[in-house]
Amino acid sequence: MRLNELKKNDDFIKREVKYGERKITLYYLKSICDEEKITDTIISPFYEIFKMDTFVDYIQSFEEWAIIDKEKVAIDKIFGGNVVISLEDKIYAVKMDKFESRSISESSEESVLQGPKDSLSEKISTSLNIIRNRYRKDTLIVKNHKLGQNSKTNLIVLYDNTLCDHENLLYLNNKLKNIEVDLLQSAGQLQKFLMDRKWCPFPLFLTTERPDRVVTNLSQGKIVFLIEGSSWALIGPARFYDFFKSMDDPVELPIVGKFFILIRYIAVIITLFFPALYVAVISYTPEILKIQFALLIAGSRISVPFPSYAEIIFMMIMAEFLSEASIRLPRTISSSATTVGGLILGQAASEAGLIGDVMIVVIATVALSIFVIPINSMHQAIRVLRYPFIILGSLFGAIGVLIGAFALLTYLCNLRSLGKPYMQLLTNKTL
Amino acid sequence: MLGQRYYIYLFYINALVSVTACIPQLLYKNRYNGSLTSLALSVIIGAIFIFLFQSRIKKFPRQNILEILDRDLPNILIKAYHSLSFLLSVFAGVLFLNSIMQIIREFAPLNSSMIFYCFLLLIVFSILIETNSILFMLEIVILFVTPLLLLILLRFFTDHLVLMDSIKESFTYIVHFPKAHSVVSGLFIFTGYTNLLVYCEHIVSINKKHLLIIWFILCCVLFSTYFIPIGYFGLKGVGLENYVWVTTIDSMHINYFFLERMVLVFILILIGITLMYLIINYHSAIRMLQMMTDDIGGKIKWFGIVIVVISALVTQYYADEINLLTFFIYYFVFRFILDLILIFLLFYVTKKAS
Amino acid sequence: MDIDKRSFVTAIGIDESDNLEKKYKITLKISLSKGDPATTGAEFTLLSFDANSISEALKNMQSMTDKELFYGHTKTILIGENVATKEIRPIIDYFVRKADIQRTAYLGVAVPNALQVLEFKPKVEQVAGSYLFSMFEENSNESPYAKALTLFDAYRRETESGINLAMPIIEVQHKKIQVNTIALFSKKGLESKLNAKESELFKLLTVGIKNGSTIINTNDGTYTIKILKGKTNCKIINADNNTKTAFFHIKLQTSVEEKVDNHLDLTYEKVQKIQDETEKKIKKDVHLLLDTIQKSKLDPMGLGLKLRASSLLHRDIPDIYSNLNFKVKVDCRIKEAGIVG
Repeated sequence: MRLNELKKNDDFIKREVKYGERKITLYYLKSICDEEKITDTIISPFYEIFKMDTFVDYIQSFEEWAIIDKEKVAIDKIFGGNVVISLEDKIYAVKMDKFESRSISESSEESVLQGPKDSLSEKISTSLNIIRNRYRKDTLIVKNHKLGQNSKTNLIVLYDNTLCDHENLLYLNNKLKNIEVDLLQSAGQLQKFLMDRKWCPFPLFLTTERPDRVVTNLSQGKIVFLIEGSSWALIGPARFYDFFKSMDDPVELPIVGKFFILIRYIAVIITLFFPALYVAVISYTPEILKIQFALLIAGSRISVPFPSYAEIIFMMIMAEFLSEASIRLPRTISSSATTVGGLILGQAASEAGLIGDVMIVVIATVALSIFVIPINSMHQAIRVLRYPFIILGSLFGAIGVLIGAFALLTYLCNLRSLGKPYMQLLTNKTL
Repeated sequence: MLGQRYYIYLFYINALVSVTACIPQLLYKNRYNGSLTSLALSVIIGAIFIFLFQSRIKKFPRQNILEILDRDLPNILIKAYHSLSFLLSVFAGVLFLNSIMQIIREFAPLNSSMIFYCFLLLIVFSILIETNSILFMLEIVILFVTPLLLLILLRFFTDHLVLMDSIKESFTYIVHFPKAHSVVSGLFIFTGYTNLLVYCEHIVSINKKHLLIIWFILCCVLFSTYFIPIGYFGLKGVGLENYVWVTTIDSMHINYFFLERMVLVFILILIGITLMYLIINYHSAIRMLQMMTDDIGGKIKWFGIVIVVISALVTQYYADEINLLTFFIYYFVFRFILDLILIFLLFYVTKKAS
Repeated sequence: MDIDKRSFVTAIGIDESDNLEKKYKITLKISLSKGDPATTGAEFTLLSFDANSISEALKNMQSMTDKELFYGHTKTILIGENVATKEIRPIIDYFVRKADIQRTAYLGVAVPNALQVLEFKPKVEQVAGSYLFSMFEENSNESPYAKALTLFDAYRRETESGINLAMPIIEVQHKKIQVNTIALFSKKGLESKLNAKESELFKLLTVGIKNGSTIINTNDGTYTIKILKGKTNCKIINADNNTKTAFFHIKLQTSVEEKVDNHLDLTYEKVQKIQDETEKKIKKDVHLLLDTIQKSKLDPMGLGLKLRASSLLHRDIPDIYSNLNFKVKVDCRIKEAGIVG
């Protein structure tokens, strides 16, 4: 029996329970099963129920049970958190799983000021519980899937039956069936499989750990994926503008909320174009600046030994190092790393005459404005895209930046997320 | 299906691009003998054209031009129409490219040939995308451009250096007969719809109210492109300027934030508008070619792109010898004739259909 | 070409050359930028070159510096008095055609010559040369005398018929720069100069003034009147037959500032009287100014253009202009008589 091979695992348990004539054998992995529950709901009743037939009926009253006819199925079931019970002639499997996870914690990646603070959990049932409790509508449909050759990850697809696009649903089901992957561990990973374009830098699905965002999107007819073991939900189809919404916006008063959305778009435009335009302007068309300003920049660059594009790329990469370092490092060290990098390097570089003073202001503006984008995946896409613009700006001046902007716009407008246009203003009305 | 506002955008960009199309310069040629009456006439004819077109096209919602024409007309006629409009679109594209390159060479003379190749690359990259996507793009471009144009308009109305007397003087030359060339060039602003034919299958059919808005916007654009430079250069002076709108903006004292010489920003806007128009124009050319050969997804589009690229490269090589103004006149005349033919065909088809 | 490889030419001066074989002496004022932002660029150098054409001079001066001469920020073009009286058209033509010079650059006649004006170094200056153009710029200087002339305006006045150039005069006097008079040009060159008083009136007739002043004599004393705001509307009235009248309607908002040699004790009647006197005086002065300008056959106010714009028949302008009648109406309102009643 191949079941015996499992004995190599130290957490594999084979328990024989006897009561007179009657005997059952339990097989399970103690690491993923709830042993207390097994004792309470299987072993104790075994001693209380005297007839074997009644005990079989009792087992069949469990929420999830199956009769097993093949050994392979038995092994799968054991790894799925089941207890395999071998009775005299039949083998049953009963779900007794235990999924350890954090309790509901505060959302750390998408913090808000006034909105709700809880986040989704790694445990899919907890997440579902949070969502169901916020969206009490009978049209909310929950569908189970399993993905991953090795991980056999549980995946839940959630949608509002009346609102969502059923073509998309069919398309997604096909897509999910065809995904071949060994390990599926996160929402971002799933996104890669669902996207048609391999080299697209922009996230075509929204990833969020906020239940309120999930519910808002559900009510807009979107489809939500929850993945076991990941506290992030994947939402699609997404549009470009969805990535600039914070969950604070619905909480705030309309004018305030709109203002902050505007600020975010301005920040994106600044991060994308400002460094490129700076290089373009000071190396090709300084007459666009006021003379005082032009002279100030010229003065600050007098001691700088290399051209402006080298200067800006050097500093931008420095800024990237800083933000990368501060993510990876432990909290306690990261703050000192930023201080050392930001203050000392910036100050020292300008005093040594390697970098113009104005350049440091530019870099600081750019580095600051990138963090305004509420959703991380979009923020990263924009961060990468700044560099092509700088190159275009230093080669062809402002016209180069314009060409780049057009290319980007073409690309964005031609993107489709689950067949829905990614970048279209005012989609729902026919004006 | 997209909303009617996309019609407005298509007409609007067609009107804005008139600055690149040297329409003000062409009109100023007759400023002492009849350009004003020509303008008035083209506004009227334009209105008639637009409304006639609407009355025909609304009978065929969600259909492209091939489907509309492909009812009772002989096949050869449809083929001829499509190939003509393909050729004309390529011709127009070449003219606009040359026109914008001239401005770039004059006012931003840094490796302009490389910029030209970048333009071509961008155009090839952009015309291959879906028709819908081009319309989305158009909307965003217009969203960015319009506030800046309004700013320029506002500056004009608050600038005390504008010589209102010159504008008044230009009105005193009203007692002249309209000149054909000027009428045709003024009409170009209103004939944007020949470019719409490819796009109108994606947009819901337009109603009269929107058409009136369009007509009003077009008139505003036409009159402001004609009169604002007169206010800055005088009636005699406007005729002397080769890039009349660029120098007009340079004459405006616009001094905001840390920017000083807004003319460079304006040139960027102009390039943006022209690029957008080129993309629309070439895309519709390629679509025409595809419809003509009934080869929607196949290789024919690459043939079209090769023609586009080669025509652009060749004319760029002879750029110095091209007299843009005369070629633009030719283009406007051909376009006018083709529009007449189209209206006629549409009338014929609707009559048959009913 | 990075920004630090350019030298910013902030002003260009054109003088008559001392060398008899050469036509022009071109002087460039180049702003020097320094590393320290606290003392940005009030330092400057001057480059001069004698040549027969402006382009030749500029080309030669390029070879005199290691950096590229950059004209994108050239804000002032000064024309020496001697050059201005000879021929102005080619100079304006050249600068208009030069695409890198802004069309909003200011023009001025330099007295005694452009070099001396450019050499002048004010005590406090943001950027070398900014003193000059901020004297012209309306928002930073509300002097009632200077009437700025931009490059495109100058070109327009040269090309259009029925309007002439009027350029402010920049004068160096006792190590100070003064802009309070206006030079009147024919299409060819400088013809006459207005004095400070006339310049103020001229500005009132064209763009309007703020903070002007005038002295009024009434039978009970002499008052200084401050013109807070003055504006003129000009209309052409077609009288019967062929005579045309230019109707100037001047609106003034004034206040009484001081009474010469006495304290102010204003009553309603006195204010009325001062008002009447002001109207009368301004009317007389304006008539005088208009007549002298008309006699010199110059048309700096564009009355000829106004005539052209007012009728569908386009007749010979100089003829009508010299036969034009003037009618002036002054509305003066004394706004407040000081804080103390």
